[in-house]
Amino acid sequence: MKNLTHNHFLLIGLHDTGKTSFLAALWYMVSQSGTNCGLKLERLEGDSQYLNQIRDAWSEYRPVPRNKADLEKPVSMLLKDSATGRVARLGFPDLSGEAFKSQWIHRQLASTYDRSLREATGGVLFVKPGNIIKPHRIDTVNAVLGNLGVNEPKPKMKTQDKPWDSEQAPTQVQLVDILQFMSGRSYFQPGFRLAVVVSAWDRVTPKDRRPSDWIKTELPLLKQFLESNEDLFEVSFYGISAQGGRYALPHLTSHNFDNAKAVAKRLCEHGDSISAWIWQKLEPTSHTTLELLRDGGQTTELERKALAKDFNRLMAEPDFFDETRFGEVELRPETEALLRNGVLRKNDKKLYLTRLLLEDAYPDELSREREHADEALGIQQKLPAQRALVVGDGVKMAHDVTEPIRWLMR
Amino acid sequence: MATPPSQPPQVPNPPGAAQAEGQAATSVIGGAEKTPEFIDLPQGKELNEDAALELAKSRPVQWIVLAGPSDSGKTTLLTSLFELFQWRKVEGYAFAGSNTLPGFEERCFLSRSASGNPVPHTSRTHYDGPDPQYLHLRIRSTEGLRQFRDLLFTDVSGELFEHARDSTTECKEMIFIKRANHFLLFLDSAKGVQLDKRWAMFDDGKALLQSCLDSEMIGADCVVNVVWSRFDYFIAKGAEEHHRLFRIEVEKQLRETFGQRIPKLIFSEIAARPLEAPTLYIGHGVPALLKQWATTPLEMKAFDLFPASYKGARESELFAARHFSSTTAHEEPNA
Repeated sequence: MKNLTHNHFLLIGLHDTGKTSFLAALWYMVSQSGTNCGLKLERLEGDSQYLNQIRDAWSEYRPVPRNKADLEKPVSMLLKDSATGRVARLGFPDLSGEAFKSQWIHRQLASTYDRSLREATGGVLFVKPGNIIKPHRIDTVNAVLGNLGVNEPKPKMKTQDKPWDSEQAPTQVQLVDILQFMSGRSYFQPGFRLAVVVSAWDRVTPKDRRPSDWIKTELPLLKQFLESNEDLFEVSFYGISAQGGRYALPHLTSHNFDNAKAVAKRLCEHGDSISAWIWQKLEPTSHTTLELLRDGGQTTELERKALAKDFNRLMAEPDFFDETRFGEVELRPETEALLRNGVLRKNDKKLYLTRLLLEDAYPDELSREREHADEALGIQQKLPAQRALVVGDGVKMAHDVTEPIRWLMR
Repeated sequence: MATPPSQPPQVPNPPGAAQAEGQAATSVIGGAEKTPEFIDLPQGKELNEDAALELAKSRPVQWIVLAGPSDSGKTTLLTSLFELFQWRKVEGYAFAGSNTLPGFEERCFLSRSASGNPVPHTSRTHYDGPDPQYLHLRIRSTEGLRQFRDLLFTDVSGELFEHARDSTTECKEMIFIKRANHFLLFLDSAKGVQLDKRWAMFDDGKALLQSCLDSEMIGADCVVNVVWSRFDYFIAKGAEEHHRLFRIEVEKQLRETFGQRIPKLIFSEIAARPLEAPTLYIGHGVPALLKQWATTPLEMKAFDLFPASYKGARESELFAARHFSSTTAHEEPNA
């Protein structure tokens, strides 16, 4: 039997697969008292600054900031199972997914990751729906398009071939290779426990789908590999929505310009300082769309999307806010509060403020509708510890994100 | 093109078996060991001769030689097999690993929508003989004892086989043919439907087989499979009886000519990418080939794999050496 205190688990997965959101929810759950959570924090080894930062974002129900450069110093949590008393160490050597990407693309294994792997007895592997590259063949895509009646005649001749781009290889192939590298290390112990987590599970339909079935359908090569190598990897499947639903992001969408005659008129006339600044910064194609909107002409969804994208770019610009420019604008108390708190200097929150500034500048003209606002409000009204959703065979507590780790520890 | 560096076995070994590490783990600077920032991993594009033999020492493998002229569909057969596994299990076999995933992926790329091509195709394999490049696939039966099977496929250019066809001396240099458990001779149906080209196509294939037999590169235990590749061309011409009669005549002539010398002579039809006959599924005929490779008993060729001087050090190698010597005791050592 393994020494209980020597259970060491890793969070693993490619870029943007939900590792950080999971970690934020986990850090909240294990470090708070009174949460219905199977694991509690025994102690943290390393700096908690980043963990606290993502926990705060998670509990405030806004996107957790990505850690591009990764944690400079190794951080790990010692977690104790309240029921069994077992203790395990959870490490997260590569939250950004760069080390995993490097294995597939550059065929290199980071020594830091290798050291973590050497100690590991199990891992949590993340995959994210909507972020999966599938092996779509040209002939099948053409056939589907043909069935939809949108197939244009294709020339039966070869075009200039693009060189192979390994980044575009199917996700399942990349994951299999990463697992092969793992099992190919001399220190690898067969029976390595792997909790496969499908993140953003709230987006998966139908709702009664099992995570293992989802993997079988969406990543069949990975599922076959795991089934074939059951002696090497002991696997359990989970679906987890760490945030519980979608955020109401501050970005403008095409819908904000569905009835935008009034805002278009002010911008096209650019008679005030803010409109003049925006007009000057917008792309020429956005000028055209705004003029069409002003004149009551028909605009396409694509044009309105491009306009929203251009606005979102502006909202992120460092000089979006200027006291003189906004001098005549009556700001809402919440806008003023964010300005006072220096939110303009906080990259992870700045867009929330600039969206408010934009709305204050065009109070009667610009739509304040935010995408997924109702869904987000419903989640925000819940206690943080009740937001997460966990499904999978053997899951006992539907809001407890520690379920996969407890399975690894059993 | 330079021969790719040798790669160690990467696909999971059976529990307990020793495995090779990646390259360059540490360096010594000023007497103290300095750990590098990165450890090199196998490139995974394809296996060269040494890497293929290294793999074969660690486990039994099926050596599958794909032979035929350029553009006859050899590489497309491999990509379509890999593509099938990307969507489902094939004929009761599941994907269990590959040491050449990037190699398969690179070859699949031009038939993927990510390539931006309007029509799928396969990049041409360039001549780099006399040693072949190999692609590796590991499969596992989903039934019964659920045995693993490792398949090593040659991926060499048609030009290489043109040399072998024209000269038994050249053919004898292609040692990999002698290792084959399965020798697939590709007859291109795209030429088979052209009245002015079909007999020349057949004669070339027949001459290649003749050369391989005359130079004693194909043994009695090797399954020789004459594959009508790109069979969708024949399907598209379905109403024309003379095409069917042509195929019957070709098969008859091959049986008459080689039946005595090839105990295991079979014929197959595949349409790996059936653009000419869209009613066929992608990889038409390929699952049947896979089943054939997976169910054929392994006939080991110890004299090729383990020269008399070979001394394996790992437990898995010693085991394999013992295993091979016991199963191939009847064979003559390769002088």
